[in-house]
Amino acid sequence: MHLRYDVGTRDASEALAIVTARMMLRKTAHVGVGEYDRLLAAAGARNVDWNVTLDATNFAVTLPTSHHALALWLWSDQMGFFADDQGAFEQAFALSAEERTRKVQGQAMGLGEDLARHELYPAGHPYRVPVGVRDSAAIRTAAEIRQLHDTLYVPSNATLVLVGDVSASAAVAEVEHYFGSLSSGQHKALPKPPPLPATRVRLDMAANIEHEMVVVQWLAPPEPVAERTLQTLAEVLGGTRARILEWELADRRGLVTWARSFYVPRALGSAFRIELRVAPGHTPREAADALFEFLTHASPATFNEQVIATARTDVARDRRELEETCVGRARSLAKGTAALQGPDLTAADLSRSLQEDVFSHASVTLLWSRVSGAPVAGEVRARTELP
Amino acid sequence: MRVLTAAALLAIAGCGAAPSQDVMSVPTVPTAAPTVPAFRLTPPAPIATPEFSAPRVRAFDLPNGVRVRSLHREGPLCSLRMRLVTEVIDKAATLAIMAPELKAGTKAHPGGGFTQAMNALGVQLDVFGSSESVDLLSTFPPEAMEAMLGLMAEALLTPTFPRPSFDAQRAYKASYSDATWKLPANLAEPALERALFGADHIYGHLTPDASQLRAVVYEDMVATHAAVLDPSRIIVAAGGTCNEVALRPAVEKAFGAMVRAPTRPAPVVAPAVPTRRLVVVDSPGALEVEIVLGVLGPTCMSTDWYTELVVNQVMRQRATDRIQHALGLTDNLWVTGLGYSAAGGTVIRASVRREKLPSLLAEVESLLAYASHADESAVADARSRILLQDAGAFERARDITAGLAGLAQYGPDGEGFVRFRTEVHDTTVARVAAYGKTYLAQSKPVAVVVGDVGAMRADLPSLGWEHVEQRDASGALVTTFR
Repeated sequence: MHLRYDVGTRDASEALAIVTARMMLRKTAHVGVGEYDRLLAAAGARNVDWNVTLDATNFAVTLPTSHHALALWLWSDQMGFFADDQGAFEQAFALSAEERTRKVQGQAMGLGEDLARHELYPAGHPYRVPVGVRDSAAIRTAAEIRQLHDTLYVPSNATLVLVGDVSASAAVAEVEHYFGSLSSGQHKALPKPPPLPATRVRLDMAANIEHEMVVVQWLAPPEPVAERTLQTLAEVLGGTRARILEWELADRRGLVTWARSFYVPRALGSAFRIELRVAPGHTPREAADALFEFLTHASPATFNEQVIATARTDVARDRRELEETCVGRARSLAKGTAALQGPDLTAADLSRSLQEDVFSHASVTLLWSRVSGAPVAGEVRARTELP
Repeated sequence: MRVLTAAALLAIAGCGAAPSQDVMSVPTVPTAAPTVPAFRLTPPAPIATPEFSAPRVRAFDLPNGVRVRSLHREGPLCSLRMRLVTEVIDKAATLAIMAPELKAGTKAHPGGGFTQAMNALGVQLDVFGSSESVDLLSTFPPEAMEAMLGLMAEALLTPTFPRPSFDAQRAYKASYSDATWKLPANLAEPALERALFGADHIYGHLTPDASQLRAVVYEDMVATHAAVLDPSRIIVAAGGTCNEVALRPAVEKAFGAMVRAPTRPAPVVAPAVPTRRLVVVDSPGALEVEIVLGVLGPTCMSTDWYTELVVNQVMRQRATDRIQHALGLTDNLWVTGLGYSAAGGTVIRASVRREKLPSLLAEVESLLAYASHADESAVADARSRILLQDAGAFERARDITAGLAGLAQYGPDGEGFVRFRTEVHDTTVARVAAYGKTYLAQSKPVAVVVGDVGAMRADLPSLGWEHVEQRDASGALVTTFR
């Protein structure tokens, strides 16, 4: 079972959607403190999960069929009966801030994503929010979080998916039972972001890390535009088996020891990221220069048909593995993941997509150097705007 | 609100409906109803639980001892796992390099030919080693089963072990070990192994460090492979939508000619119970501390081992209900089983901000005492959770093969799914109490704390541990605090 709200950290300042979701999990009007986890565990739940991304808040669980109404009861209480006591808010805030400490300040190169968002999205853009909740965030009151909840976490912004041994008519009747009396709320349309810049920025970073790294992030079209092409492109450049970048920059030129690429689909503008681990004896700058030189000269001849076929197979396999489990299938349905079917992609398609959907857009390049006295999460030593 | 429903990808015992999907919209009201209906006040009662029907495992052994197990579950994929039971031999570094090298080329497909053959099938092969076995695992569309079984058998039986690939693999493993060894989590595991099992016991040094990896010799790796390659050590497990009729001839073709070796290595003897102590490992500048606490338990699949599953579940519940909320932890506290063939047990692991170390360590240790004195309701709850989770745990084809291979390796085979449920179901409060007395007494645990020793030195005397020592990453004693 999967409940997705089209509400993410983009929809509240200082990523406070995370605090809202934590409060929903901690206690609601009819579910006591800690009961959410306890009741689900007692019912034999697996895959109990929740997360808040830039675009969405997700709750998921796999339950024995005999207990599936429990999730409907819990989730409808979260949606319609928010509990806004100040103690719950303060604890949720403290937990969220602690999580950021662990996942950002305590993590090697943890500041990278914060900096990338800051550079790629202009002031006022919904995606210009920190990763997680900062200690320094202006503390709100529980009442303000309630306002956020009652405006955004409403049926009009929600999609509920049930996959399993259920009949559609019985399931809908049950959903009506639990959710039908809740206020539908106002559907929140996708925000209209300000125009995106086309700048290219380089940040020289210092961090107490073992491997020097290069991380380049580009803006890419919002999902689902070019989703299938960009997914395949990421798999071709630095995927599971096809790894053109590694073959070029590691095997042929010895500049890096590892290269991967990732497509991160997002509703208001996706991200395309390449990560390189710099080989001993070389510098992040050398590796980055070689990467940009390679991408500048990439052409249809760069992508041969066998590599594309390999990448396509891997993308299809990942999808099949997602579809294998009830919770994976529910997640995929809730998000409305784009279909993989379509005409076979050619080398020309990938080459064009690389240039038009990725390379011509704004980018931020982080050159991570090893400096033993620097914080593990990193600090900026220099910022350069590139032509 | 949009509501999507879809049929299951089928239950483990197999029911054959094709997946379907419906999209509907549930109307909700413009403003919320003022009164709260009664059903909101208490959780819904479960509907009738269907009788558990044990999954049908097909099993057969080749005359030379190769064991084959399969379990059909309709879905989009078939998974094959070939397990070579290496047993615990003092070759951890060698096996760590040998495992990935199995797919570097075979006699029939030398060099890049093996990768090309897999690419032609559109499949991927994962090879990974554990302390007691090496697994080859692949998940693929059902029509590729016979071809993939042949390729996997090639990798297991006739690898060519190209020397340049071995050199690269050894350099990569050592470099990776160098680069990651000082992460607190990576320091904690081997430190606990040494403290719990003792440096002289084979379980005390199962995690190779960079220098051990660099010292691996090519000829020794080849000889080790030949020494462990015996048909009675091979388990073939197939799960998901696999052609069970085609499985037997394919396995016979791949493994039938192997000859069984006359002897097997002696099983590992159970380690001696360690003395209670706290080991501190320095990680300068770390904001958090990593705590790992271990206690030894019974051997795998013994009756006491099933009690251990319930005991660990009791602790897990307590951890969720109490410690996480009391100390403000989020997703960073785990209770797991040890799972060696000659030593089960419990491992509790947590990471937390340094200033919370005294509270967390006390809470973690109190979990052991709590489990020893669990009442009927806690034990019943734990039994119920395990059995409910077990009934649907095998959704993925690859998880099915892991279960099949585990049962074949450790026994009881064949009826293992049924015995598992029976033993868990029959675990009483008295059995839990007896387990606690035997295995969880206060004198038994060993704990490792990885953190900034300079910053936490002042707290160490007040932690309540009689014996506190600092060791370095290689296990050498630095100093004792008491």
